[in-house]
Amino acid sequence: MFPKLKIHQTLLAPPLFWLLIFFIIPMAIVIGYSFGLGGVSSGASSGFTLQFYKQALSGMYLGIFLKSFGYAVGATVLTMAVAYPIAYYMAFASDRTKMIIMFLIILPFWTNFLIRMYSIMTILGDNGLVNNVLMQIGIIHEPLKLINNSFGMYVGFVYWNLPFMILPIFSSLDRMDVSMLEASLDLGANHRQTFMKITLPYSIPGAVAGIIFTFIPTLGNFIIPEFLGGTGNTMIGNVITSQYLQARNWPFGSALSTVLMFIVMIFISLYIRYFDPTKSKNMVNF
Amino acid sequence: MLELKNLSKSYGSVKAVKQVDLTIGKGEFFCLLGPSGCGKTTILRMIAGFEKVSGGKILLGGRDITNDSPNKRDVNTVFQNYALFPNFSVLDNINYGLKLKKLPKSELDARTEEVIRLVGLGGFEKRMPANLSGGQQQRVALARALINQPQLLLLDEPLSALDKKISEQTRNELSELQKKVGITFVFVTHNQTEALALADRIAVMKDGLIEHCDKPKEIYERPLTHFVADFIGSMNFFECTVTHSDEQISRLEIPGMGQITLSYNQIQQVGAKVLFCIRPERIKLSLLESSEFENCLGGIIRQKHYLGEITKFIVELSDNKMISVVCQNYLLQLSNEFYDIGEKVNVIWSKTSGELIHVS
Ligand SMILES: Nc1ncnc2c1ncn2[C@@H]1O[C@H](COP(=O)(O)OP(=O)(O)OP(=O)(O)O)[C@@H](O)[C@H]1O
Ligand SMILES: [Mg+2]
Repeated sequence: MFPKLKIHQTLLAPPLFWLLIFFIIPMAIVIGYSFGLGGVSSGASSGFTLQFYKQALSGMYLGIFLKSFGYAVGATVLTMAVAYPIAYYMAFASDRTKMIIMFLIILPFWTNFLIRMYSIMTILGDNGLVNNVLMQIGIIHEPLKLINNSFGMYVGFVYWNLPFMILPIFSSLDRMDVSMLEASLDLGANHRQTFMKITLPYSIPGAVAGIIFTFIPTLGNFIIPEFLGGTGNTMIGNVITSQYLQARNWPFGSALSTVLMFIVMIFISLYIRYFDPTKSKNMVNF
Repeated sequence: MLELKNLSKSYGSVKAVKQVDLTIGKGEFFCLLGPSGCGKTTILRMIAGFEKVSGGKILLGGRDITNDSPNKRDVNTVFQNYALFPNFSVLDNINYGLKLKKLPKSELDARTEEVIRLVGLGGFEKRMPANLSGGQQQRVALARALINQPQLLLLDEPLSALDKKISEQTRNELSELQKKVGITFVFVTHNQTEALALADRIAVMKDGLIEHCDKPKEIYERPLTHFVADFIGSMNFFECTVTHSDEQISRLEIPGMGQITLSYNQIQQVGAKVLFCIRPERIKLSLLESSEFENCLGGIIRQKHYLGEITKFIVELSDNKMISVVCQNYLLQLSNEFYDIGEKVNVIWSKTSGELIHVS
């Protein structure tokens, strides 16, 4: 037992070191700042204080937290609605079709993120592709407002999150044995009943993973509101960025970050509690 | 009960099933037997409704079900891999079909209990399929299908995933179970022993066609084609020419070996080329040469395999023709006969042994 354990420890050392340097220490620093420690001046005070947390949970900022939460929920629901049918189609398609769709899903990752944002702006903008086409064929006479509002933001979120939702759902559906569906039909269930009783439960672990992968990054996202959300749609990520970069109020920015991190941690704990991905019972054999 | 009329199935250019005609009676235990890839599963899947037919018709109890979807057919299937629902308990797997029918709870419980008792799964109701042995999973698959009391139960190699002992035990139980419930079974297997032991009738398939369909005894003793004779058990073949034939006997000339006699009630055309086939266990070895034997050919023992119950000899006749002969060991011991490799022997058999196959 003993020598084996030693080998494990040796192998674990580099990643642990990495985590320490680039994850744990920065996090500790952020948490330290948020309590007014570390000598970063905010103008107001120095030394241990809870004032930044009071501020972070005060009316205005609490409102932004709630709004961000609402956006994240909405984006997750919309992404799910778009992703599930695609994942389902993919799982039951021929191997060739699977490959093609997989390729299309991965393709955007090869393009710079900024370029992708600008291309969405070009497509949905006032003089963009969509408005031009609709005006040409005379369906509308004035350009529709498709960006710089919450619609544009949702489009951005769905676009951004789609692969992270499709892939886990696909991988859980793809593992499903088709003969199970045949068995269900054979025993008298119609297609809808088979979907509800067999397919849907089978895809839940994948769907939950997809929800986590979508919800959490959306909650803290600041790029998409910046590009597509316009002036009225500020999310907590934007506030944190501006506290760090413009207001130079690092302690307050850190307090907001810590609260956000805490919220995310609650969700991840719930996920691990109910859908522990390391337990084969849920993921592999489910 | 079940009629397949001119049934065929092609996958692109592959003809998996070619114009099969078959009638299966009510309460029959019917076996589809054939080598891998001959189309057994394809036929079963067409009957169940998972595969669209390319041609022909399927009638169940006189009704045309060719284009019905699987959930509309009064047919249930025991899948080769069992296809249990992994996130349902044994109980929920078993009453899946009944729950869909929205039966009153009392009836649902009664029927579930009955079928659980029938397949001997009492005490396992709460288990998940992953925590069952192969044999137990097989019972769940069987119970799940039987509980619907279908007109027809299809079983695709249900015993092939079990080890030999369990498979034999389950085979016997299956046979009893079928008699008890009286449901028509169509059982697919590539294992001839299974088919012979279980079936009321067997259809032997080759390349998408049924070569011979009859009772196990007939298939074994009077195979219609060379393929069937060869596939079921082992068989010695002799190409020969008819030299005499009347209502009682036929005399055949085996080129380079001599004449043999066979009681055969069909008159053969003199001069016709036929295939004489005889099972190894129908042949005896003898050191004596006597014209009293009805059929006798000389040879030399080339191989000897002791197999416990029996000994199998490979005997070389003239013209380098090798045949196999099987002797019961206790008979050899009783009569103090011990043959060894290299020994000159006579192979003898009675004229009532063996069968003729017409070669076209
Ligand atoms: N979905 C399919 N697409 C193309 N060809 C198929 C398909 N299913 C079966 N076949 C072909 O049809 C033929 C019959 O297959 P089938 O599965 O019915 O054989 P089988 O008798 O059940 O064999 P086994 O004993 O191996 O199960 C085979 O040549 C097989 O390759
Ligand atoms: Mg098969």
